[in-house]
Amino acid sequence: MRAVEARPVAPVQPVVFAVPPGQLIWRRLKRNRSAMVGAITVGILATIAVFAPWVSPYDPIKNDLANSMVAPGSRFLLGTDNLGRDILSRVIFGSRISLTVGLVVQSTAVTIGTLLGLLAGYYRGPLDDGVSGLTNIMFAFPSFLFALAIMAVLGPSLYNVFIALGVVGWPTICRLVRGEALSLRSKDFVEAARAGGASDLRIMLRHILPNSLGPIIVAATLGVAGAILAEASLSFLGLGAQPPAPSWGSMLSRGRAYIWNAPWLTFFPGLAIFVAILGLNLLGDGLRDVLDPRLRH
Amino acid sequence: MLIYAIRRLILAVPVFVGITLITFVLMYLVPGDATLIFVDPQLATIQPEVVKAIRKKWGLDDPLYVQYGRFLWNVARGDLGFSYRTNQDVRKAVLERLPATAKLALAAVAISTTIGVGTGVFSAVHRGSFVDTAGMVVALFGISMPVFWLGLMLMWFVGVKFPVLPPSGYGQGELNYLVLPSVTLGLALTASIARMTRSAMLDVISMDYVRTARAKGVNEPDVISRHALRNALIPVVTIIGVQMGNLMAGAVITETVFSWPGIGQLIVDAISQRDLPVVLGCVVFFALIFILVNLLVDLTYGVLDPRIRYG
Repeated sequence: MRAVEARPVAPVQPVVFAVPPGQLIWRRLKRNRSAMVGAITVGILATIAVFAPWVSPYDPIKNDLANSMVAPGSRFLLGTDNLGRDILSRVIFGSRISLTVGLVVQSTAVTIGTLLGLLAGYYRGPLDDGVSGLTNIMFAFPSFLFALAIMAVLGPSLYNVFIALGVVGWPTICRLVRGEALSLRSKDFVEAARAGGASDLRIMLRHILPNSLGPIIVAATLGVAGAILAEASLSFLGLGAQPPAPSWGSMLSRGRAYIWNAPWLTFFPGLAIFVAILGLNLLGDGLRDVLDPRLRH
Repeated sequence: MLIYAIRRLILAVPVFVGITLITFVLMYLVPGDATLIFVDPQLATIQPEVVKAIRKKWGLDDPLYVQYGRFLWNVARGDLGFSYRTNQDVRKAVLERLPATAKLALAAVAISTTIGVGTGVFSAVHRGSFVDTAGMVVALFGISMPVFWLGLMLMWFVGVKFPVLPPSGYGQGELNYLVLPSVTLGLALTASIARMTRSAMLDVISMDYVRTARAKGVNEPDVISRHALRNALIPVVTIIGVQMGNLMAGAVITETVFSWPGIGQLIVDAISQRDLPVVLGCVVFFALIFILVNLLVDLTYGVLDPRIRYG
């Protein structure tokens, strides 16, 4: 009989990063030109939105019929609309509506989607069947049309836009998080945490969620762009923010009637939407390059 | 493959039932008495028996599951109900508008696959060149451009400022009326396809079999078109399926911008008049098309790559 020798157990070496992962990501992000252009664009927009009352030259809502339909010039940089309101001021205040919609809608979508996705992917079984079934049905609806139907039922208003876009927005995140949770739950470090006595909640929040943050951040960034575009589209169809609120989409919709002789009514609000979405798309693409090393070109 | 298609169709049934359920619940959630939408509220207070008669006629007093069962049965038979406003058969209204929308959508898809795949392949082959960079910048602009803004600007520029094309309308169905709307609708899809084609081509071009093909002396156009592109097409077909929903949303908006008499305009008009059966009928119809297109996309995989078997 062989004596069982107690072999010395190698002490567990803590993983030492030469650079903390957060800093590493930041470094890579700084080198990614499109991400930086996007981040700066979004940053400028956010600053404008926050300081709107101080940077806009005129009142965005008060009518001034004596100065209606003035072409862009030195007094009104981007011209005025049919009620004499300064387009620049309205575009500036419009950034508040758009960014609020983007942030509120995406926070709702991310919260619901992450929660359901984590639970479904971690516990599997009937819960997963239910959640996955529901997301499959939601994916079978063309989402914008579903939002349209919800708006038709609830009636036009900005608050209903939040509801409609929140309802159609969560499945994307949910499917993503579910997939991550499904693949992470059987990884060794999760096994180890479980062996160490961690509760399900702790495993989900401290081990699975942080490891799926990358794809969530990318999807959420692109989702903000999607929500802004969807709000603008709904407002363009007259279903979103109601007059006199200076939403970019409704400005375009109102300006349409004057496109023959005053195209600036439609040009500038549309340009604002374009710049906002372009910035967010650039940032999202850049984040994907940095956070998701599987995709590179 | 036929068996696979049938199985997929059967699997689509629960999804479709789910769609009808959600649609039905939405209908049910309408605030207020549904009858008041098509009865003058004043008349309703004077003659409550009118409202009662209507509720009876439409079965609005039946239990919820009975109403849903009836709704589902009707949808299964292709009966989408009647418009609150015009009393027209919703299915008939949708089918009447279908040709215009189909024409617009097919033109947009044709434009975007041709230009998108072309640009993507060219960009990948000439990676890093000026044309590649320019093409990808334009593509990025394309996916960020709101459809309605692009449409209005094209309308203003090509229709009003330099009137070479009719700015809006359907005419008698002449092709020149189709140009602006289909270009407007197709741009975003063109851009997505171009980006996807480029990235898929770059993945494929560095594969061993492409190098082998070159090594054995296949000429470059054949390497690109037969060895590389064919294998890069699967993600491209996928993106077309994924973008189908956006294409439908874009069609609704494009039709509104250009006064194009299709289903999109039908929905928008119905929404402004709160004509719910028409809105929901159109949405159910679009969802059905969406499911079928995605099935078609799945079946295309097998055509593109014979190794994919549908078991």
